[in-house]
Amino acid sequence: MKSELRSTSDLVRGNIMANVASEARYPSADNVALKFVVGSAIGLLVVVLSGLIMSLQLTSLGNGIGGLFVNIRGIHLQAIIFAWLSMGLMGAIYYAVPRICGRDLLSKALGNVHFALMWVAVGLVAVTLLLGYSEGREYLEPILPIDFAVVVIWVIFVTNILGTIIASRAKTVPYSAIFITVSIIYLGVNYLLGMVPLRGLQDAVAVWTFAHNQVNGWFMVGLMGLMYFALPRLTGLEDNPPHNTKLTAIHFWTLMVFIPPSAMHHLLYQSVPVSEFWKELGQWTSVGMLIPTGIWTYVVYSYIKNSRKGFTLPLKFFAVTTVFYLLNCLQGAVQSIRAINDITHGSQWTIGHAHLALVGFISTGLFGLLYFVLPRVVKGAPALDKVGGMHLAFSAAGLAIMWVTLTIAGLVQGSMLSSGQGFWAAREAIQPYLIVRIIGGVTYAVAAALFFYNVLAAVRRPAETTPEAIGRQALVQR
Amino acid sequence: MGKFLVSVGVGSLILVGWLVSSLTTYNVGPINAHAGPWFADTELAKNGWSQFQSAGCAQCHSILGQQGQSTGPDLTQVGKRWKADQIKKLVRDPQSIFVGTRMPSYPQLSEAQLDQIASYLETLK
Repeated sequence: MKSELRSTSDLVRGNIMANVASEARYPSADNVALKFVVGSAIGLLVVVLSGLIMSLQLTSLGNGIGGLFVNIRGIHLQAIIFAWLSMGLMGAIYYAVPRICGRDLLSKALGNVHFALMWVAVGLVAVTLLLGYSEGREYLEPILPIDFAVVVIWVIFVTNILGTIIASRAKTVPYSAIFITVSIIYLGVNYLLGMVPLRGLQDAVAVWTFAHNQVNGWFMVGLMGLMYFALPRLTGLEDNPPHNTKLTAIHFWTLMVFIPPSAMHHLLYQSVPVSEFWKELGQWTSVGMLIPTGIWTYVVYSYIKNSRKGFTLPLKFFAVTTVFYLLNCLQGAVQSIRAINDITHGSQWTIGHAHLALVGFISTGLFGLLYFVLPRVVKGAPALDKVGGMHLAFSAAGLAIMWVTLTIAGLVQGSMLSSGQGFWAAREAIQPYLIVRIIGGVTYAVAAALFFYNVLAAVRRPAETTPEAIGRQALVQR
Repeated sequence: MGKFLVSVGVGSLILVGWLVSSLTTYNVGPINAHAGPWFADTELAKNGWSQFQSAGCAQCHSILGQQGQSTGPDLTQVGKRWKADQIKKLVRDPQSIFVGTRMPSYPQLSEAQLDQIASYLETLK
């Protein structure tokens, strides 16, 4: 140690900066991950903007707002699937996988190509959908040429990630990497099945299997894998997990067995002649999904409860996401039962459930993950907590308003349709709820803007050398 | 690495297995390959199904995504949105409900035929 270091804080700074320099072992992974995090924040803005336009159009407040509802709806769906959630998860995966197997990314160039092609695909999807070129199949609106481009992008992604894991020759690969890899395989296999335009019943089965597995297989399993990676590091419990590790194996295999067949619960009252066997199977495997739900809730709870690093911002997001996850799975299991599905199917209840899943559960969890990844891939240690706390409050409140009003609106609408009062009467009856929903949407848009601000501020801030910043840096072990 | 490959492999195999087998789910095929409609339970509605075929509705409309064309909207759940008398009014003179629609009016259909078609479509819920 040289004699320029005069104070304790200088000493601390010198030590920690030396540590940081030696610990930044994965420059390619960090570089690619940061690009995806910023990209996902931009994608989220597209999602909330298109959502706000549509929520206005559904009420009398939106008279004269341009753009066809059906076109914007496709953009809203595709933006949330690809531009926001997929890009965010991919960023976190690019960060996590090299650290799990102790080897930098297979190829930084492939990662950059992946990122560029993602934006090309997102741009193409947005333009074609706005022009009205759509397959008209829910969640699979992009036309066939774009589908092929998506498959190419997926091949690049899976080559990079699987290649990194296999090239690392790690003797033991933990379950977090298994969850992540399986989720990537779900993404691709599903897309290959879903992109083929079939006819009639088979098309309905393919579309809803795709939509279901995209959310459960790619978003949910991927998010869980990444949280299995992040939770021990956020709580300082890397070496002694607070739960029985056999639970993770049970968690994994129940998911693998229950996720695909439960897709059929989307077709219970669709007037589609799916055979009784598949409808029953879809119903009961949906209820069976409560087993992994319980395990996952317990795992997250036990990590947070035993945390040695305090209740930090990402952990707060993880706590909230688990609450929404539990609500979501209970609601999902309930509405998979046919007697209830008869009322709720095709009403605003379903819209509420979709938002609870993708906004309440997946997006909140992803925010937590990105707040875990972000300080570790930018220079210095940005203070995310102040804005981050507000972001958490606004996003949870916005989602809660949206979900509760849509669920009540769905019950009103569904029972009016079932009792034969007609489409227009039901539409008029739910207008007040749809207006309250706009308030929820605006609240959530504020949260999205706060997130965007936080990401930009973290990226643009120069490396700080104040003792506080160094203290934060010490918490953020790379 | 062994556990990793086995877990990922078996998980993917389960997925592909379910996907392929779910596509073999019982398909009753196109509607007009069968003796009658699925949902029509009254005599009136069953006749309406035949009228639906012979009046040429399926030139533009599909039901359950099958059999028809996609010029007009799919009518799978039309009974949830429209009552029989509204459907009747629509088929007789579409311009009176949707101004500027491409759907032609059907003056050649008798009152009884319209009743049958409307009561059939109302059963599609």
